[in-house]
Amino acid sequence: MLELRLVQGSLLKKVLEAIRELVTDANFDCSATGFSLQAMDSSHVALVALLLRSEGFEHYRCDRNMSMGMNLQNMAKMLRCAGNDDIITIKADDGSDTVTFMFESPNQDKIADFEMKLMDIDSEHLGIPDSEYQAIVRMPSAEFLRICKDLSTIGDTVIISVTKEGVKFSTAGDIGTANIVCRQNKTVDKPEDATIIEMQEPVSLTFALRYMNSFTKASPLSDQVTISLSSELPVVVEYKIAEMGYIRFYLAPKIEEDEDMKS
Amino acid sequence: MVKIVTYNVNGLRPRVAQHGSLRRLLEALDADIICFQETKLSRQDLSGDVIMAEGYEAFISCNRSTKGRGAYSGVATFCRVTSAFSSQEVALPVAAEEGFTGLQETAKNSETIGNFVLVTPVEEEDLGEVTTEDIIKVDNEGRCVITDHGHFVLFNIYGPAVQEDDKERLRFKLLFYKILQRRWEHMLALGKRVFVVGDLNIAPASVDRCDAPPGFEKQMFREWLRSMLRENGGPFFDAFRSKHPERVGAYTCFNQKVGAEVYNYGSRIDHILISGACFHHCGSVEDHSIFSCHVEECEIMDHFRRGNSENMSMWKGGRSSKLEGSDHIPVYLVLNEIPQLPAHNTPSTAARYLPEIRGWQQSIVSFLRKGIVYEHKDDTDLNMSMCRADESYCDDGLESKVIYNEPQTAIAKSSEGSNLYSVIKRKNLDQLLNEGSSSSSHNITPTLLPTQSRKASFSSSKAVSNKKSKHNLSSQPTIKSFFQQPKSKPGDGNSNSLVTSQDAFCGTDELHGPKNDCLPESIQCTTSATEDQGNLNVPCSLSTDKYNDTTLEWQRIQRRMKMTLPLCKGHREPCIPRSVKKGSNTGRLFYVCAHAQGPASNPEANCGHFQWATVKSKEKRRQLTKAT
Repeated sequence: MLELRLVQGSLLKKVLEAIRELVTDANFDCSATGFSLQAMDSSHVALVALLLRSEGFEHYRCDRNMSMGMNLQNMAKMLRCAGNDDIITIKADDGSDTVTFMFESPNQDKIADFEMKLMDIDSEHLGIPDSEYQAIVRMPSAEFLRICKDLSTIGDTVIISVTKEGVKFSTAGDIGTANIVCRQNKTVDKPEDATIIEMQEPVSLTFALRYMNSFTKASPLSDQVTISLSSELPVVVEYKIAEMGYIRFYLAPKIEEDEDMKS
Repeated sequence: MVKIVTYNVNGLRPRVAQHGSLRRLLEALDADIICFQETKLSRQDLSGDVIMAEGYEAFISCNRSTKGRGAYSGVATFCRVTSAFSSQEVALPVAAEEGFTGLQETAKNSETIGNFVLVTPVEEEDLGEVTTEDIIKVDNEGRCVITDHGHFVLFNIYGPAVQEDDKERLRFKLLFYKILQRRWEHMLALGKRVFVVGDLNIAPASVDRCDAPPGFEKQMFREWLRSMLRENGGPFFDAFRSKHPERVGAYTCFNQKVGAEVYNYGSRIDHILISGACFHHCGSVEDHSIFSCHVEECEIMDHFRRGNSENMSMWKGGRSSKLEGSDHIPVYLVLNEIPQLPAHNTPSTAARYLPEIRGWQQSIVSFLRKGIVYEHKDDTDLNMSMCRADESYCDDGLESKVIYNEPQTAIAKSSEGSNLYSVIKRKNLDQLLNEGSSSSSHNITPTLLPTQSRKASFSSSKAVSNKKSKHNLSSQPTIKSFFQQPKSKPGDGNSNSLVTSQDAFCGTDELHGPKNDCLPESIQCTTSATEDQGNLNVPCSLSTDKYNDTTLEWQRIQRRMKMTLPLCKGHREPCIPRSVKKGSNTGRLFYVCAHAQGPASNPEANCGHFQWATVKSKEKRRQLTKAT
């Protein structure tokens, strides 16, 4: 028996909008500690990890560990039927073929039940190691979104370089080149506007903008995004989900155009 | 010499963008008559930059059918001329026609080329009786432009591409060609030379298709096209094949989805068919024809092939590389010894005369110049009073009077004092009755204007005229004047003012900060942030051993991720993911070989591997397990 009641239903809606473009089908894993997901995109280049801790739910009941395979496109379709203020409850019986999403309006005058068929998805759980990073950039998520969007109109890849002075995003394309530098800026009135750079060593890595752009779909979840970089490690783009957990995207840096494909 | 080029551009706008301008695109093709197919232009968003080029006259046809896709198909014929008027050039047609049935709206008002009249309903074997509507539908997709160049009639054709299992479109395609055939036969019977160029979407024989399967030539359309050719008793020469009967691997179209250029895995579906007599004056027909006497060369312009300049192995499943250019290659034909024509002008069906190009918008100047005061002698008291009313209103300036009176003259002109005017009059009467005679002159005056917008224009025009008179006194004020005012405030120098503004900015922020309850929150957040930083910083002492461990761990994960991608059976290489775009399986993921498609003899080419991503509904799997 599984019953998860989330008062801030819009949160789940946003989570789905954040990952449905990247991942088509995925297993949601429920345990006593929380509701989580780990999935690769269809070309097995990027990895997404989601955690919603049990404490974040108003009511959290998970009698035994459960893995529910869902088509995210379909799940998003159903969650889009929930109002932004609705309370969402996820329900499933042990060994059931279906999962039920219940939407309650804030004043309890409307209750909707959506039942969705589950899928059987073969997937293996990858143990992601805790890593230390040479550079960690924390910046407004809206700013990061804007940068990725702008750069992708010019080039296909972004070079993210972190130095003491700041973080530089650059690209080159047929029509020309672009460089955007964000300086460290802690002295803002609102903490969500801050740009904070923690750097052990300068790093410069190249990534496919296509993926970066789909990561930024998570921007509504958090005012700030954390980008952790190390040479030879995948970049981590993390959006914290207030009081509940996080959504993390991992993407391997590009080496050389050709090597990338052959390897 | 007359050079004719046919080119399926796969969107004229992208090709124009690729070459920089329409003129450059046309110059690159270097021909007297250039026939484009799949221009993907719609009448609504036609513009000069894709139709008008200096030194060329254009004749176009756009898709008119509203069903389904909007801007697709479409053909355009560009003729290189030194003069659009009283020219003797063969390239400049003496007549041009959009469509080929002669049933289109545009054709109804003018004569069709060769006075072709299609008698409807049409009886056609295999198709039964065909209604006029059906025929118009076939002609409405912008698939044909006919230009009569005096010595020959040129059909620029974009033949429908049809899936083998689409019954409705198959019928459409058959009808298209059967009606076309009638038109050709009609022209030939008149003794005209008929040239048919374009993307017919038919590869006539096995040699024109890479890896043609058995029975390839048996298909209905291929049989039909061959029956049109001289070898099989038809009227036409397939100019390319007749010039190069032995040539293999000569293709003009490559599927862009499978990277077909890489291994020359294409088909020859862009043709130039010509028929008719030569210009020699001799009785013998045997060895003489337009083809054998006047065709100098017919060749595929291979340097236009997509990705020609780049390394072709860059295809990579079409993911990271977008090859620039059309999926077709142009074909050209050179004719010699074509005599000149008597002097003639550009036909009225040319694109230069289309309102979309010429413009719907009339110049305001023609209206403003006529500052005649509106007068109506044959009118009743009512109108007189209104005239008086507006005169009284226009007292505040001659200029406003002119502007205000303008709409009325325009109305009077357009209606020529007849129907429209009486309508206005009635309207006025009604309104007047409603408002009562006590209404002020201000209320009456607008009622004279026929529409709401006119009312609005009245008030605005008055305002404008007032402004105008003001501005007429002094010259146009510069934007500077708006910035000079704050200068009187403290802060004399540039740098100073900057500082002060910044100060002011900070000041307001301080004021606003506590108000918005921002301060406590910010403290909270910053503390939590520093906490987080602390957490991250502590292990960030970067013990190199641990760092190496994580690197290795990640390498393992990445290898795992790659390995879980299915391998194709032909090359044992990771597949590329695709998803179903239509039908009941929409959105379902599958994996295919990452190599470009090519002839079966080439082991490097796509091995045809296909597999679904392993996802099933739980229900179904249970049923399956139960069954077994």
